[in-house]
Amino acid sequence: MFLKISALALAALLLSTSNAYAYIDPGTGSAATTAIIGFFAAAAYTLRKFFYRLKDMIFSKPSKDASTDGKQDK
Amino acid sequence: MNSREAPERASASETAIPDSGSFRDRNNRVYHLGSSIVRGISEQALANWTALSAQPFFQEFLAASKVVATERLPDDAPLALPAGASPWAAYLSHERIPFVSYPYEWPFGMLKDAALLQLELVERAIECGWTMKDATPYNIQWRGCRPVFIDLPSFEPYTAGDAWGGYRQFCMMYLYPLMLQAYKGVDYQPLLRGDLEGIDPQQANRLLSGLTRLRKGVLSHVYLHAKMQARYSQADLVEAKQLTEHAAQEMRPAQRIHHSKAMVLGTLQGLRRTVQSLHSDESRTTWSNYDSDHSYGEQSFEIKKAFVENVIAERRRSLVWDLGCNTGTFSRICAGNSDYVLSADGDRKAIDRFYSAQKTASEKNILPLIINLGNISPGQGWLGKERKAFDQRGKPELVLCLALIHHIVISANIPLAEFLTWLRQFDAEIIIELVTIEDDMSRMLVRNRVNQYGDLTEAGFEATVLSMFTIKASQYLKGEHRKLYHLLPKAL
Repeated sequence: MFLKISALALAALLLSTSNAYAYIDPGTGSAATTAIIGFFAAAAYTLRKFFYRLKDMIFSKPSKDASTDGKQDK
Repeated sequence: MNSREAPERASASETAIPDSGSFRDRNNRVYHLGSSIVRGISEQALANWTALSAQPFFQEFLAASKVVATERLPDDAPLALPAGASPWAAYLSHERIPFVSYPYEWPFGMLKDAALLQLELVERAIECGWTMKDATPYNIQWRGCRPVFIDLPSFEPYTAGDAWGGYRQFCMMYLYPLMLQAYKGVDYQPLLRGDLEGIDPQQANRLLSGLTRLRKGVLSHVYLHAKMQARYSQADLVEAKQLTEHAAQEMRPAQRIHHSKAMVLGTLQGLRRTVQSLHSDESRTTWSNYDSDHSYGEQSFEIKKAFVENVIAERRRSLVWDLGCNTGTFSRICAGNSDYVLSADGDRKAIDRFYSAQKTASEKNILPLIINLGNISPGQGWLGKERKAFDQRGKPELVLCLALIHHIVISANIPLAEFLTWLRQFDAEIIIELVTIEDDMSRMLVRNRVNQYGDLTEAGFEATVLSMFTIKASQYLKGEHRKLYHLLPKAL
């Protein structure tokens, strides 16, 4: 099931043939993996961002961005 | 400690010697120039460095000592490269790391902190329009218990739509080893020492199987990753067969899967949360509570501390090795009057505890490493030189071997004379504790063995020692079953 959802998510992504090379081979399978993980992570990232903005609007507090997620604990 | 040491300026009169572990990225190469560390960089790497060094995020990392202190050498700096080597577009001078270490010598806490630094650097870089081309822990070194990123050409401008190219390497070198330790209680150090590329996703998938797949991050970063790799490897295999049979056929171009910045950052944040959630077991090992469990009475222990303190107080030394350091009681004594202390022990849990304690301790000049003296890290990788042997990476001025010799001679069956010869090669002062065969600990170790350790007596030990060292001072402990020696190397 997980793989089917992942495959659907992957199909929704844009595949292109332009090149981005490094001295290590990032691995096509690894790039496909990050595309799938990233698809869900980006949705969560965007939702968090939306949530914080909405919260700020409602409570009129200083802006908190999803990109700061977890860092306040450091 | 926010102060950073300025990188040492290269000396003009010496020839730069290429570092045997710096060859993979043709954009740069590290050289040893006397006591200085210099990096030759290509035109492309120079352009990147020029832009990067002006970036506020990079300057913040420099100020926080998260990346190695670096400055560009003047173009007219006289540098002699080895014969036949092409000159580089520019040269950078780096702060010298006191002792180079490798991830297979790090306890869990160190590998985890190195992973978190790597993720912090790349996440911040991508937010600022930069990325990092790789993610190997060999690019992270230590100043005491603080990780420092040393491979600055790893930073490069981020191209919109790109994935993070270091993801696979991060999984193989950081994430899977940490997961193995945290989820399965399997030591990763032998695996990282055995394969310098780390643990392959498909191998990790076999190791992290069953119910472990339900643990945080395993389904996505291990199972899915392995399946995807297998699928694309199969496609490559089919293509390779076709290429063999039809030589004229064009090769399929590299596939690029478009990644939005949110996808990349979301993945990195997920990785960070996963790594932060990983913890090693805290169970006790035989020696990991040494501070309270050592086999001494308080009086003998105080005499032993006083003996070491007296030697340490004689003069300041640049590098001290504490072999068999356990949780570091004597390393901390040494740290007070030494530039740097390397603390080594084969007990990974003791070193993990020592590292955790030192992170918040006042001494910032102690590096704890997992080293089994009966099987020290060898020279390995390309030509057997890419990663240097443990005993080829520094020259100590003083070596401590306290409550160690019986483990070497009895447990590891290493002849006493050979161990002392190994110590003699450092040309260093030695503080060594003789644990005679009559000592209770020795008797415990030998009770299931044939007693072939006749040299583990005061007379046998001193006869061997005096062929290589002079005895500057000595002190009986524990009813004369143990004896401390301060040895000075004899001229060879």
